[in-house]
Amino acid sequence: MSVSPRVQERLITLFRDKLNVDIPTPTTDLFDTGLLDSVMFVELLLLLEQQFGVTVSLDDLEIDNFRSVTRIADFVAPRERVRESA
Amino acid sequence: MPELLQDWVTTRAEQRPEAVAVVGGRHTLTYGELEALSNRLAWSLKRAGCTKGDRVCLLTPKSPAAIAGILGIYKADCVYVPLDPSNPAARLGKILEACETRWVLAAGPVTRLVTEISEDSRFATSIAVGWMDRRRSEAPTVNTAFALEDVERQPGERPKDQNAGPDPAHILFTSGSTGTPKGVVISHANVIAFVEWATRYFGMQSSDRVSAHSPLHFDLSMFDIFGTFAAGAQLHLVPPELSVLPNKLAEFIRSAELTQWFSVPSVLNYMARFDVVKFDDFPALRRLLWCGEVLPTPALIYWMRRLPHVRFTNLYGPTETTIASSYYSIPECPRDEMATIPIGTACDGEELLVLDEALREVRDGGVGGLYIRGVGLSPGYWRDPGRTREVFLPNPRGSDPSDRIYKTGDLARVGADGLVYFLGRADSQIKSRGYRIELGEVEAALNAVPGLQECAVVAVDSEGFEGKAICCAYVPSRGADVTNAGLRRELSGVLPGYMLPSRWLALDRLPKNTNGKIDRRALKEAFETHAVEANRQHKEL
Repeated sequence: MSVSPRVQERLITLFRDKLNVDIPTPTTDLFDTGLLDSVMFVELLLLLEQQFGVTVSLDDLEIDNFRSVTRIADFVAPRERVRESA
Repeated sequence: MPELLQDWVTTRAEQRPEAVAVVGGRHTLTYGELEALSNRLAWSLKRAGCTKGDRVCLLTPKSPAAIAGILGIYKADCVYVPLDPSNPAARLGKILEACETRWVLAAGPVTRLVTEISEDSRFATSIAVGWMDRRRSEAPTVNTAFALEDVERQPGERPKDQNAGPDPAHILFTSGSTGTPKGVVISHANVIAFVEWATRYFGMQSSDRVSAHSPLHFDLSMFDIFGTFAAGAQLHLVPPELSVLPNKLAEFIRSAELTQWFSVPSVLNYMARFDVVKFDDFPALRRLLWCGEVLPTPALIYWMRRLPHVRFTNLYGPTETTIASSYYSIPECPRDEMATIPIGTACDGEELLVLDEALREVRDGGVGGLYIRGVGLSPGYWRDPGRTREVFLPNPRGSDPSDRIYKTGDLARVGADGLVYFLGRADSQIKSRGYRIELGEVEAALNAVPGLQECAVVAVDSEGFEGKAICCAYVPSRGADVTNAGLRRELSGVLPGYMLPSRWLALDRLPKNTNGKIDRRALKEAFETHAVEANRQHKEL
């Protein structure tokens, strides 16, 4: 699967600065480690919309799309809307 | 009425051993299998040296084996103490120490946690682990009481009981304001009284398919489990990760064909927010209950409009009075989003009292403290007579010293309709996602983190679904390199995820009132303004 390092980096920054969570590695399992709970999940979806222009539909709500930063990056990168300023 | 909680399972196993009792993913236990496995676990515990009244901790995610473990502990005349495997080892250590246990029953992906606990010098020799699955080899350094192979060699007959109804069934540890969790002791008779009332009131039958949604350390799970067994019904374990994915949770309710679902408001609100419920969805569902906090009326309207075939019931009650003490079944969908839903009337055998500070009845709809009297009252806090005396008081209208009332710390009033209305807390305890949290425990944990000059924790109403948002304001020590994310990481080593603050503010100094105390009202306002400000900035992006 293609990996988007730039998007991964932006996601890690977003987790740190907006959600106040340090992600140990891009492949860390966010569910098994309890890093991502339902409250944070809602905020994450909001931030993906605001910062990446990606609207997550109900059909996209699969555990595997959100299991790690790598997976989120793979999900977000092809859907990201080109924005004039980030 | 049975004497002990395990009696329901024994009776059903005699009547219909082949009937399904517990379903967890691909794993199923019939009543006959559940009875035999729990008997073998009981014999294993007894042979490992457990005797009447010993505390046995259960460290496992929800699974059919976990349910057998609870019954096994009861059948060994022991006291069940649930340990939440999502808690860090440091907090579990506090519970293990407080309940002075020598045994932990373990199953599932908890080997790292068990190893961490057993490496703690306080527990290295004192605690032995009984394995309910074949993971013993993954934790080779852990002191083992018995492995699954040993369990399988034990007799399938139930040991003779030495316990009676008033004996403790379990100790549930809840957040404590001083930083140490406090243990609420609950007797077999406490749970049996509630379950007898609830199965009758809700008309539960052997054809029911009941959810087990709450984690095991949450006392609502006792009704899921024992209400099901009292009715001879099926218990369907809801996988915990579904709480993050509302669409998957809805699918689970559909595919398991649940007839009864006991949830918490934050989950109902979350699902409403994602709009995952169709009109006339969940055709098998007959009853939807919730407890733990207030369900916002707009969310209730969302649910009731979509599921006209379902009875909706609001239950209320703190852990200290066992599962729930009052109930209110919503007669019809509220028309007004501002309508207040009462906590209703007392369950059979219980009494709700609204009293003033001198413990006199407050009349004419006035606001007072809410007190509970009746069959659900816990014997008290585990080995803490001081704290027990503070909140379990002699009934001011009674003369028998065993006649007690419990001070909930909640504020309430009796409406003109005779129903009781909940009005909030009288102290700093909060509810977030159904969890009861003492802000003092969060503050105590923060005070132990290096690099902070001072800190304070407050809660504000969240605009999200979780009820209250936990907010932390702090002043870094001079020259200290402190970040929000770093603090959160430190705290996650000692507190469970639901107790971690979600909002943070670094300040030059904390606001103080005239007598030098932290001005919590000003802090709350700061967080509220901050949230509005952040929201506005987002929208302008």
